[in-house]
Amino acid sequence: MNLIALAAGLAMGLVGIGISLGQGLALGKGLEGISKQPEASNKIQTAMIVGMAIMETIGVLTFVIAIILTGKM
Amino acid sequence: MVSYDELGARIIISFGDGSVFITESTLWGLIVAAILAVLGIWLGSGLEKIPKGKQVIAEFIVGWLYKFTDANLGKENRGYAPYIGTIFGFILLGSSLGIFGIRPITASLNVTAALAVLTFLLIQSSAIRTHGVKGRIKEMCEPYPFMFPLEVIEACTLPVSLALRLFGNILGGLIVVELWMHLMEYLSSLVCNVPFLRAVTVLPINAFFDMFEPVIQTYIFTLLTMINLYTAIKVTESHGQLAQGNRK
Repeated sequence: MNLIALAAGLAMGLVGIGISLGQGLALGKGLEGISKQPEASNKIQTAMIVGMAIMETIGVLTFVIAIILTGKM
Repeated sequence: MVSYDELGARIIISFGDGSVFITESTLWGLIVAAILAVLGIWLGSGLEKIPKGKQVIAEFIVGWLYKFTDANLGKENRGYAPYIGTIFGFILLGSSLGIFGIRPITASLNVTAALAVLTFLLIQSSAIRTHGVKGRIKEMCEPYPFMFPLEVIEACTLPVSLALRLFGNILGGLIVVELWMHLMEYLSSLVCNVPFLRAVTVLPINAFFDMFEPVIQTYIFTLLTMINLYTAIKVTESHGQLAQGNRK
């Protein structure tokens, strides 16, 4: 039981590291692009948000798995 | 304590031996749909040449929606705008129900899965309508025929990821709000009997998880729907030239 709790916590924590790094990079590059070319901000924003959503999917899937794990305790 | 026992919503009405039932999210989904329908009919009634009063709001919403679809689907596919607008309104209102203290309907996997299946069916049927069955299969075999199984898997993963993304985000928000409320209750109970911390911090928490997060998630859901729809129905360069040549 304790190991399951540890697994759920570790899964969320590790995925948090990965996603925050990835989204931070994407946001940074997107802002860089917008500041270089303000006229293309709409296109950059759309692509950036879609890319971040796809990254976030991994976290959400991990979240669902963590919930299933906590349900097994 | 917070209970994670049920990932789905509570059952409120059950018939017979309990195998046929109506859950909270079904009922609120119907209510949300009715509210949207009444609002739409009321906003769209009594239109005049010179916009006045409610017509200004209606024109603003419809204009924004058509601009949104034009930007992502192209002007020639304007016919999909009503569908996009409907799911936009439904998900936005359904996810923001937390403001009124009701469990958001999209925090139930059944609702999000139904929406994702709708999107999947729309994408596949429109692709077949534009390219034909043969053309669709040919399109999926590009650039190499051995990519076909991968394309099939990709097409089937889309509804799963759409449903789980919306569900996970809204349910995660729900759980975080509940946990935060319990923490604040406990902390303020150390000082005095009135849960003042809970009353103060409820506003920013609600503003983020029940207003900002639904808008972002709704935007992402509709945007991903449109992008995948566009890649499925777009006519590639060679096809376009062929079609133009036939017309001449």
